[in-house]
Formats: sequence, structure tokens, C-alpha cells
Amino acid sequence: MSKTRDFSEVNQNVEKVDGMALACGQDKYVADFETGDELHLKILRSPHAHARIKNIDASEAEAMDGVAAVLTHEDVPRVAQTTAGQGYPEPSPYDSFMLPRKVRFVGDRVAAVAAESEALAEAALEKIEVDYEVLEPVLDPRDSMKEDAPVIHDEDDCHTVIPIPFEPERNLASSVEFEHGDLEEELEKCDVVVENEYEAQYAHHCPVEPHICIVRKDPHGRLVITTSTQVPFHVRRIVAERLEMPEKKIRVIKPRIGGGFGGKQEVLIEDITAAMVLETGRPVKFEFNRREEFASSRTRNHEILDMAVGADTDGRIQAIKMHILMNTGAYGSHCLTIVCNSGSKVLPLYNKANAISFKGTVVYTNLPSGGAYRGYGATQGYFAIESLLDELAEELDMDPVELRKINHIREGETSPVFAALGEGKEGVEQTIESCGLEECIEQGKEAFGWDEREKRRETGDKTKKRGFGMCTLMQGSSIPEIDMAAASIKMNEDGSFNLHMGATDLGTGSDTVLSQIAAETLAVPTDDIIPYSSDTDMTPFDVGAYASSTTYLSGRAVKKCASNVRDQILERGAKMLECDVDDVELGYKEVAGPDGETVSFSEIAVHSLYEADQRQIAAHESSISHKSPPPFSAHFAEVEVDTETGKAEVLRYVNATDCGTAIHPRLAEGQCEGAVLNGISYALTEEFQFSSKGKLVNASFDSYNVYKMTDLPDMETILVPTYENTGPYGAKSVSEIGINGPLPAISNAIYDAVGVRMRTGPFTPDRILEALEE
Amino acid sequence: MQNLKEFERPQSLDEAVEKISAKPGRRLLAGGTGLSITDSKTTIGLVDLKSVGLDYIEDDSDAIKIGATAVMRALEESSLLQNYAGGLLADVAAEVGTTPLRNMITAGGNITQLRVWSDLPAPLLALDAEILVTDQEGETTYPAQKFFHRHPSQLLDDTDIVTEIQLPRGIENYSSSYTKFVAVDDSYAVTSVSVVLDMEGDTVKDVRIGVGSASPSPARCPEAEEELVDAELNESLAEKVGEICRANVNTTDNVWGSGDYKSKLIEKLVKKNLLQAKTS
Amino acid sequence: MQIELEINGERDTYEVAPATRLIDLLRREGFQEVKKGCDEGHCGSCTVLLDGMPVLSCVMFAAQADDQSITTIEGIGTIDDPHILQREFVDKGAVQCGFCVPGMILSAKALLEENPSPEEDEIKRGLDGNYCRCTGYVKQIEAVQSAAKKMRGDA
Repeated sequence: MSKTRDFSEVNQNVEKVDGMALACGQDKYVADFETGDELHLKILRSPHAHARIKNIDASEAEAMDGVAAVLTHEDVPRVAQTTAGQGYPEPSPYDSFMLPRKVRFVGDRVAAVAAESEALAEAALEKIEVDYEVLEPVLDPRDSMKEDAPVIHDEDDCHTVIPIPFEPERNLASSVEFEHGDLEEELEKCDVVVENEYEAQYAHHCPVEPHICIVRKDPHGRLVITTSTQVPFHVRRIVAERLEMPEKKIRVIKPRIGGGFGGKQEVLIEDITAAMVLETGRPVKFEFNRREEFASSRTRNHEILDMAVGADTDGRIQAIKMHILMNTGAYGSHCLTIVCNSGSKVLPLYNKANAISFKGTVVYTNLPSGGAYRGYGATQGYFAIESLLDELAEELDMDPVELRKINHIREGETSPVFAALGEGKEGVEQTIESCGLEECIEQGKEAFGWDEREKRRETGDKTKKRGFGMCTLMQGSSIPEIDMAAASIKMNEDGSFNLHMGATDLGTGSDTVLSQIAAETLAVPTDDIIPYSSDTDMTPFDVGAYASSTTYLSGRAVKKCASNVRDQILERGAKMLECDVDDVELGYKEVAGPDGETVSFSEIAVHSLYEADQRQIAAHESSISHKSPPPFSAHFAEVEVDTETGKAEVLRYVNATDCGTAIHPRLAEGQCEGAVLNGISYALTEEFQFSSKGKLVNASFDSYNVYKMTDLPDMETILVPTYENTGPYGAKSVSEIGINGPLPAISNAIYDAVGVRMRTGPFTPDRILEALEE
Repeated sequence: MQNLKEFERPQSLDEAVEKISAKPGRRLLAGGTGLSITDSKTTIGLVDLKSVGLDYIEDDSDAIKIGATAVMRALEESSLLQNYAGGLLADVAAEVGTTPLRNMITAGGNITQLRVWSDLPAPLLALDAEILVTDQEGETTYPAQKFFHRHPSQLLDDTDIVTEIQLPRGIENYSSSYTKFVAVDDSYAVTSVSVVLDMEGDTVKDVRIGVGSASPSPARCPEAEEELVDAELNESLAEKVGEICRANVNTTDNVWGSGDYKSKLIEKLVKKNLLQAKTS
Repeated sequence: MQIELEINGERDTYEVAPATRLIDLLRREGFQEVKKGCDEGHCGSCTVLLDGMPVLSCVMFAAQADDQSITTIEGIGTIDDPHILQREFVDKGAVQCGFCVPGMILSAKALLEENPSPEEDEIKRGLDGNYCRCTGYVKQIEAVQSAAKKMRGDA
């Protein structure tokens, strides 16, 4: 299979369709739709990790000048729901309410105020008197399922909508199990077995734009929700259910959004804001402040992974154990699917094992809720497996690169994990059709100078030690047999095309990438495509931006749609050229007949709109994927550890990534670079610190440390082309995979530098120093 | 700031003194980076010091004088400060906050509020600086030791205006070294160590060690300084002095680091900065 | 109270409450290109140039800017006639979600005016006040380097 093709629009760095408008500050985000007539919504947040609301007295707040309304749980419909923006019916427990009667973490919703200004709304919050019955909280997931643990979801209207394990009476939010072969038997036979426990910590997405929406009623009484979301269609459905109103009364529009990373794959603001519009009849704006963004949105799930890997003396992996205790916090949003992904996106990479034992146990605690976050469980899973493989390589006295090379999955191969683990149900069997991992390893090694690394070990300072680590990764592209995307295209008389899609550009550039796919198919410049996306009234359905699906799945829909339109153009062209459709060819913005005569797209459009057999050249098409072809990547990290302070600094980081055809190479590199830096930041500094009462104490950028430009190491991204036949023009996904590497690659490099295994993230100076002292 | 109703813009220090003393509930405004996002119900008026003429850094026969509203960027770029005691204060200012914040944060604001992000107090202790305060009664001069002994708000009345920091003559040619230990670049210090040193050959003539952010107040370590004076500064002494500092400087837990870790840092950073100051 | 500001070259008088922060005044007056990110002085989305120097408009009172000039991203280029930095940010792939970009370009502009040939470390320092969670900063550094070159007339 040829790995490169000749393309004119895809695989090119065309101008990002919204790039210049953004660089000039002209394109609009949600806040820019504020007109000044909105009420401002604020939420009274629970000060307790676990408490029952006995009574709320909002009379004083309601009486304040400028306060339009106060809503408590007594005023809104009580509909058990999940905030997870997933395919319906969701494999997440329906365990949350618009306003709960019982609060389950510090920062949970208690009441809502709408007032003429934010300051007034905040002042009103202080006037609401709440009488709590404070309950004992569960603050450690290891305690959640103990006999005497307090029950967090003890209200009987919590339920699931599909048959998934859910035992709230013992704080079990969900669970999954998969056994292939006999683990104990295989481990017994192995020459080398390594076992250890890893712990991946809470973390936050930190989009620069917080969650924000503005909801107003249009003149027909419909709710128009302008919101910073990754999932406009799920927002429409969930808000309709929460408010017990028909979906036809709701329109959701996503304008430009300031980053999401999974955090906006949740319906956290729109329901209560819509309820407030219904209550007051006024437009209402709700924007999280930074504390709410950290403490009351969603997080990377905290996972504790009990791991074992066994191999023969040659390093062939025979058995893998991955038993996970996942802390979903107060609510079970995405919980089952995230824990499934810790296995399903990770274990197939080492597909030759005779035995695999995978268990995921998801427990509730009275801490902030987990949810979708770039990497979605795979980040945690890769930390464990790729660090453990480094331990195995050491036991075997083998180069960690060689260990990966003899074990990783290859083209034409499959893994039993694909069929066994899906999204809350069984998965989908698949054979790998494109795998550039060998090439990623080779090119990454070369660029990093892996074989020459010993020459760089000497730092000239006895307190500074240098080390080198690596890891390999795969992810997926969309959720097979579940997720659906659609697009529609119509032709205009100047030969341009409107491309309408449900797909959600959250800053990733999907409007551009999908326009390129349409342009390639239609043989026009990308500039002739006018994209419009994510408006539930105007664009066809799409599940939204998640699961590394947009380029692959929405791209397939766009390509299919554009092909349909192209066929109509050819047909019309043949008619105009008075020849058979089989005798015409698509040229650049024209159709050519057999004797060289041509009609331009503009002529074709004018002909079909005004002249003969008049009809709109247009199509809409849908796509559902039957596979989730993985992108692959190899990561290499060079780290220097200050043995006096314990501080680890990444000096150089190389990722070589196979995303199939990169539709827009620069944007694809940008996805890798952004994901890797987020991963490095997660590995070294990002964590949630809780008080003994379960309150998040570092809910600000002043103490939740994220990497900035000055912290950036020397970073190199290499795109390794392959061609995925099932993807649009050979494309696979690229957005998530990069975040999975830094935890293990850096942990391995730290070990290589100073001989301590960092098995709990993040690898902060104090933790490293403590490990060094032991 | 829901009750804030007045914004006074005095054009001289005298006028500022008058404005701040005129009514209760008025507060002084310097850079505003802290105050503008402070939720205070009791503040009814602000007295902006921007135009009172305190944004100088100047050479005077008795001292180098830093006006209270001089911003970090000015400190960083001041050749006077770059050439004073190994450029310690210029180095410190260069690591405060981020580029836009360094255009906003003032010397007076940084020391008067004395919060976890206040990087100037510890080096000012090490430099034996003096802080000038003006009120209706006149001007008072506080040695840094006294000014930072407890939180300055316990020493100052609401109507006191910190006007100037004075750096003493006689130590211009001392060398110095500074480390602000942070988790990521623009984060607040876990702990900072400033060393100001005067050597004759390998022998220490004078030395001051300032430790910041380890506890709510910055600290000197006289026990360590005594150990060093008249001694030969080498690696083993630096190490010993680090240990002395660790044992004598109080540390407390906060979200940037545990007291225990800060103590370990103090030991290592004192040693490192002593040796660096020696060779710089 | 009234203050006088020159915003993007236009001098005008604005009515503000003493507690009004500069960001809120600017956005209220239609300068919505000034973005509100963390709203507490860390992320840099709200960066504007005050008399040519980058400051954070979310941590200062509007009245503090009285009688000074303010430049927002609209003041340095338009879609039809962009500043070289805006062009390079787009061409180099430095714009993903774009929320941080107005502030970052303004920081870059101030940097290049002072230092037309910055080293990579100087670029990093000059832009250290602007968070970006999307890009990993690599393309943004490249964009500033390339713009610097073009502004110097080297390319």
C-alpha cells in the first residue's frame, strides 16, 4: 500500500478557515454574543463534601433589588440524568439532577440566582440560608466499598438506561471485566514477571475560556442556547429531558470556543441557565469563574492500577494483568467508558499475550467528578503499562525500544481486546490495516539520538543527573458502531459550496480539515468551501467532538457527501456537454468532456439553478464507522533531575506519530505538540490538592501549575505517513494520542537518571526528593 | 468592591496623605493587581498613588532609593540596581510574575501586602534595606527586619503610606546569588533564598542570608551568618551552613509546598547560593 | 467618574464606576477582542498594551488607565490588512482555538518593538504571560521568529 498520494487540498497546509478572523480578534466566542440585556446566573455551591439539604430559605435573596429569581431543588423538575455528552442511551449512570436534594462534593450545585449583574448575583448567594445535615464523606476511593462506608447515592431514582453494572448501595458506580486465557497459569510459566501498582492523579483540562453559555428565547418562544460545548446535539437532548420540554423548542449553537479537551463534552451549565430563562422570561448568561472551572466541572479520573506483566527470556510478553480502581468522584459521568478505555485503547498494543486479565471497578467518592478528558482513560492505562514495561526491560536487561519492537501489534493483526471491550458493551472486532509504529520508533529514535544517548548523560554537575525514557502508544479513531456524523453540501451559482456539518470545531481546526476533505473531493480550492458547523437547527446531526472521531468519522461523512455532490455535478456537466456521464471527467472547478470541451462549476450551477431541469445540486450523507483504526506513536524524553531539590526538567521531547494521512500537517503537528505539553505538565506538576474535608484547595492558576511557554522543552514532532483505507483520504485521528506518553516516558527517564521509580503522578520535586531519600 | 464609590487621584504625596486620612474606608492603590480582584465590602474609596511621583529609582549619597510605585520592570532594568550588590534586586524583580505583571506590580505593593507572591521582602532583609513610611505626623523609617518582623499590616495604620525603599551604602560591591524555587516558571515561590556576600580571598567578611516564602514572614538566619563570618567559605562549610539554616528557619505548609520540603530546599539552596555568590 | 482614554488611536471620554476593571470597560464598549479567561491575572487572554506596554486588563481598575493609550488587537491590523504577526500566526499554525491569540500577539508586538531580533529564550520570556492550552507553543514561537525576520526586512 502506497503511503503517500498526490493530493491538491488535503495533506496541505491551507489557511485555517477561521485563522485570520481569530488572529484579528474578530470571530466570536460565546461571551461576545452578550448584548447587555442578560441576567447573570450564579450558583450557590456546597461547602460540604457530603450533606443532605434539610431546608433552603431564599426569601431574603429573592427580595433583593436586581435579583430576578432564585431556583432551588424545589423549583425545578427532578429528572435523574447524566451530564455526559455521549451517544444515547448513555452507558453512564443517571445519578445527577439539575439541583440535587443531597450534595455530594464541595462545589456541588445547591441553588441558582439570576440578577442584573454578576456582583448582585454573588451578593444574593450570600443571603441564601441553607440548613444542611452534614454526612460523613468518603474521600479515598480505597474506602468507598468498605462495609461501613457511607452510601453516596442513596436516593432510589438513580438508575441506568442500559444494562450496565451499577450498585450505588455499595458506592459502585460501574464495573467491567474481561479475561482472555488464564492469567495465573501464564504468569506461572513466564521467565520474568514484574508487578506493581501505579496511580494516576486528578487533573483539570484548563481551557483558557471557561464553560459559558447565553440562553435566550426567540420570538417564537424557542430557547436558543449559545454555548461553549463539544456536543451541541447532546446538549439539546439532555436539556430537553432535564426541563421536560420537547427538543423542537430548543436550538443549540456553538460559536468559536476557547478550548475543550473533553471538559466541554459535559452538560454542566446549559440546563440550569435554560431553566432560569423559563423562570424569568429574560435572556440569561452563565459563565464559570475559574474556581468553578476547577472544582465544579469535570476532571481526569483518578485511577489506581494494579499491574503485572510476564514475559519469556526473549522478552515476548505472555501475560498482562490490569486491575483498576477508578475514582469517579461524586457522579459517574463517562465512568464506565473511561475505565473501559484504560484497557481497550492500551492492551491491544501488545496483542501477542496469551493471557489478559482486565478489571475495572469504578467507585463513588465525595470528591469532584471525573469525566471526559483528552486521552480518556488511555492516559492512565499507558502510564501503568509503559512504565511497567520499562521495569520488565530492566529485568530482562533489554533495550526498552527492542522490547516494544518485538511485542507491538502490526498491520494485519488483531487483538481479542477489540471485540471484548467497547463503550459500555462489547467492542468491535477489527484488524489493523495501517500501522506505522515501527517507522515511528525508528524515526523517533533517530531524531532523539536514542542510540547515542550515553554520550549526553554527563551533565558536568554532580547534583544533576540525566536520563532517557521512551514509550509507545496507540489510541482509536471514533467509537465504532455507535457514533454517527452527518454533513450536507449545496452548490452555489459561483461554483462555491456551503458545507454544513454537525461536527464541532473546538479550536482543533476541524472546520478547516473537513473543508479540505470536501474541496479535495470536489476538485476546488478549500477557499471555495464555506463551512458552517454545530447548529442544531441548521446543520445535520453529529455526536460531537470526542473519541478522536472528527477527522475520521465526520471526515468520512463529508467525503461521502461531497462525492454525492460531485456525481450530480458530473451528471449535470455531461448533460450540458451533451455526452454520456461516463465520458466526462472532473477537472479543477470544471467538468471536461471527451473532446476537451469544458463547463465550469459556475456554469453548471447556474444551469441547474436557472436554466434547465432546475434543481439544487446538494446532498446530505451520514457516516457510522465500523472500525476505530488506531493512530500510533513513539515518544522519547530526555530529563535532568536535580538531586538536591528533586526537580525534574524535561530537556528534550520527541514524538513520532502515525495519524495516517495528515489532512492539515501543521494542525496535526499542533495537536501532537499541544497534547504532549499538556501531558508533560500533567506528569510533572498538575494535581488536585484536597483539604481533609474534601475541598479543592488549589482551584486557581496561582497554585494549579500548568506549563507555559517558558517551561517548554525542546520539542520535536514527526508525522509518519501511513494510509488508512477506511479513513477519508487515508486519515486517522491525532488529537488525543499525544497526551498519553509523557507520564510513562518521563517516569522511565527519571528512573534512568536517578534510579527511582515514580509510580504516582505527578512527579513533583518533593516526591522525587522523598523517593531519592528512601 | 461592591461599596467602592470614590477614586481619588492625588498629584502629590501631601495630597495623598490628606486623601487617605480624610475618611475611613479608603485604601491606597498602587499597581492594583491584587486590589482589583479583592472582594472587600469595607473599601469605599481608593487613593491612587500613580501620580504622586514615587516611581523613581535614584542614586543618593546615603542610599539607593526606590520609590514605592516603581514597577518590577523598572527594577529589573535599572542599571543602578543591576550594579548594586551583584544585581540582586534586579534579578529578583526579573522573576516576579510574568511580563505584563512586571509592568504593573510595584515595589511598594509587593512588600506592603506581604503575601506568598511577595518576592522582594527576603532579599530586602538580606540587604538591610530600610522602608520609609509617611503619614500625617511625618516620615518614619523602619529597618527591613522590623518592617517584616510580622505582617506589615500589623505595623502600619490604614493611613500610612509606604513611600520608599532605601538600600544602604557600603555593600554595593558585595556579590550575591538568588534562587526562586518554583514548580513552573511563573508560579509563586515554594521558597526563595538570597545570599549577599563580601569576601576577602576565601574568607567571608560579611554575609546575609534571606529566606522567602518558607513561612508567612521572610527570615534572616543570624546563626548561619555568624558561622560564616571570618571563616573560609568552601563546600563543606556551605553545606554545614545550609544545615544550620534548615534547623533555624521556620517553615510552614501551603499549597506550594510542605514545610518539611521547604526545609530541605533551604538547606540545599543556601549551600548552592553561597557557593555561587562566592564565585560571582 | 469620567476617564479619558485613547483606544486604538481614538480618544474618547468614558463613564466608569470606581470599581470597574479595565477589561469590563473595554468589553462593555465593544472591544470584545479583549478576552476574559481566568479573570484573576494569570492567563493573559486579556492582555492589552497600555502606552505600548503589555498589561493585564483584568487586574487593574479602568480609572488607572486614565489619560493613557490602549492598544487592543484591533488596533494593530485587520483581516484585510493584517499585521505581520497576525499573518505569521495564521500561516505557521499558531492559531488553534484562538482565544489566547489576541493577547499573545500583543505581547509579541511589544517584545519585537523593543527587541527586533529576539533569541528563542527571549521570545519565551516576552510571551510568558500568555497561557495557551492548545498548541504547545511550538508554532507560536516559530511565528514570532518568522515575523521578527520579516519585520526586520530579512525575509
